[in-house]
Amino acid sequence: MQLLDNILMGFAVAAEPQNLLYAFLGTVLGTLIGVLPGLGPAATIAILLPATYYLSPVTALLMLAGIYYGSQYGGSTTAILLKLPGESASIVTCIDGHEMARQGRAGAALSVAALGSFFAGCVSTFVIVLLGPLLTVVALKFGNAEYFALMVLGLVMAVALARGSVLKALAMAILGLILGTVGLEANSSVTRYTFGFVSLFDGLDFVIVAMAMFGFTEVINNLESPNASRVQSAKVGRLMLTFAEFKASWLPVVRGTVLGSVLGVLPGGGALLSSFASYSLEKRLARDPSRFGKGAIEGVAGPESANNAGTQTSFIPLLTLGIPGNAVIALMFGAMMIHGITPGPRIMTEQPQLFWGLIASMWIGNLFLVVLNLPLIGIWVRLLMAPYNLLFPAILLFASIGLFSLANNPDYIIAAAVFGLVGYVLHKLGCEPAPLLLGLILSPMIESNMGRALALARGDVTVFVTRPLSLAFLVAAAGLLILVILPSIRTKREVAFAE
Amino acid sequence: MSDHTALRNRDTLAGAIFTCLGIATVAIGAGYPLGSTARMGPGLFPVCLGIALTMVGIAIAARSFRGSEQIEGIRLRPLVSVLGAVVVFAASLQSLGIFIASTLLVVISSFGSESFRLGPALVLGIALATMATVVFVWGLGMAVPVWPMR
Repeated sequence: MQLLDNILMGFAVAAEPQNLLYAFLGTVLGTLIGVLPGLGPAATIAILLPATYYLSPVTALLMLAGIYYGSQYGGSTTAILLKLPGESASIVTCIDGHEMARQGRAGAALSVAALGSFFAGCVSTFVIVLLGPLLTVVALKFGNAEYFALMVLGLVMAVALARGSVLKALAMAILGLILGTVGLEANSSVTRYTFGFVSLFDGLDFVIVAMAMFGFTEVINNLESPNASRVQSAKVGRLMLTFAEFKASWLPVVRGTVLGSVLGVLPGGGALLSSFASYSLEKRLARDPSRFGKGAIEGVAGPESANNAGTQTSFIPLLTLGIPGNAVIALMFGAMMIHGITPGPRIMTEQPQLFWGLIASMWIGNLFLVVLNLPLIGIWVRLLMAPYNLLFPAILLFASIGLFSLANNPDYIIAAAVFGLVGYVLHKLGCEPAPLLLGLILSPMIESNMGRALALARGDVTVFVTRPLSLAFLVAAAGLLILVILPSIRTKREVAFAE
Repeated sequence: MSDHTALRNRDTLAGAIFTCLGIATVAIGAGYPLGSTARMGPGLFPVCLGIALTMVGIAIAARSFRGSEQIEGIRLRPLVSVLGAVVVFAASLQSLGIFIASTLLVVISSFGSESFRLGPALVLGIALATMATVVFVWGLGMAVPVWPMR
């Protein structure tokens, strides 16, 4: 029973005192930043990356993962209580969750969110256990063309899911790919786009770009338009669900979990897509759709479960194929590289403690989170009152120190400031940073896979469309791109984001 | 639409910027050996990307003529405070030490907030500077002076 052995080993790894501690720390931190609007998992992970140098790779990843799925739990708290999404995937929860709070049912909403998330967390961990090894086997059969096509699909999905204009998101993704080419090209020893700066020879460190665009730019944006609406905070009230509420929510939780688990695995998938999809599904399946928007518990149960499932299963492409599907997972990818681990299908066999330890830790983490989020909800609510003015200088200081520590060089901070400015300009123009970051991180792999695929095919460009799997991915990518650009779908998409 | 409005038009500006970046990418990239499809040279990938970016940039600019949003309020205060604070920190970290550099960062960046008051900002600055010194230099052993070097 190799599977059982692996699972037991995973728990053994996860239960090591250091791993337990840092996983717990990660989940607490995740909940915290999920609750605090203005700071998201991407920024936090980027800022903490230098700090993880001191930890072993497994411990580092457990903590970072804890931050990611923890933030999904925390994000629902602000969404329900203040109608402020603490995290982008919680936007949907704002709709019915806050209405429930207005009706005095905040406790029920919080409970259903936490319990649904826990259920989803457990089930999706299970999905990873089952699907992971299977996908790894499939992935080992992937050739360069397939990897290339899959990464293109992932990038296209990130573009399709970005807020605002698809064309601008596409431009950002391409720009990210271009920025990824900066530096010394391995095979030819040509330095590209370095303009003589020696510090650029190693390429643009993604940590700098991530910290700048998700950290500095975010702080600037938040300062420009401060959230005045702290007034709407609602009382928490009774936490226990009534039988009727439970009956109404258990099926949406299950549906949300399934939907999230599936959508999370897709390239570009994750919490955001899953929660939106779940809301639409629940609204369509409801006997009385007009209840949605007025405090329908299904509108909280489904999406909250879906976003948790989606978050966890989005690790699958990373751990099996070695391809990050969204910006946060891309940062995890970067973190692994920093620690000397090359993500890919061989992770399962070469780094089993990492693979199975992470899975076990996710389950334990979910347990921590239910405890943190239900009984301790009072603490988080009180924290919401903390003024942003205390928080943001601390964020900037921590980020700057982190940047310095990357190479004991203050120039990294300056580089980040430059990118912060760039990020600000791009934000003003309505461009999202996530596709750029994904493009930046994927660029070397996309280029090398493309090169090798073409070399093996002796220059035959059609290799990407004659191999069936590669063709399938590229067709999906093209189809998706056309779909979101088409006017009819575009308006639906804008409406969905506007809600 | 007057020329003045066109310049403040988000999409036109975005499209223009992307188009320029795309063209620059191709122009510089073409200088690197392109190789052939069988053996990709260092210039091939960037040039393809540059062409793609140029096309997307033109598309964005073209669509903007059908009307798009204006650039919304650029307020210099948060921008300059945040980035300025960070740059000052970088410049002073190794010469003035982490304590002073941190305090400066906190105070300068706090200026970016509407509700800035020097007193509380200084207190926060000193508090965070102390924390940073304790955690990073004494705790983690970061190689940075605490006080100004003589």
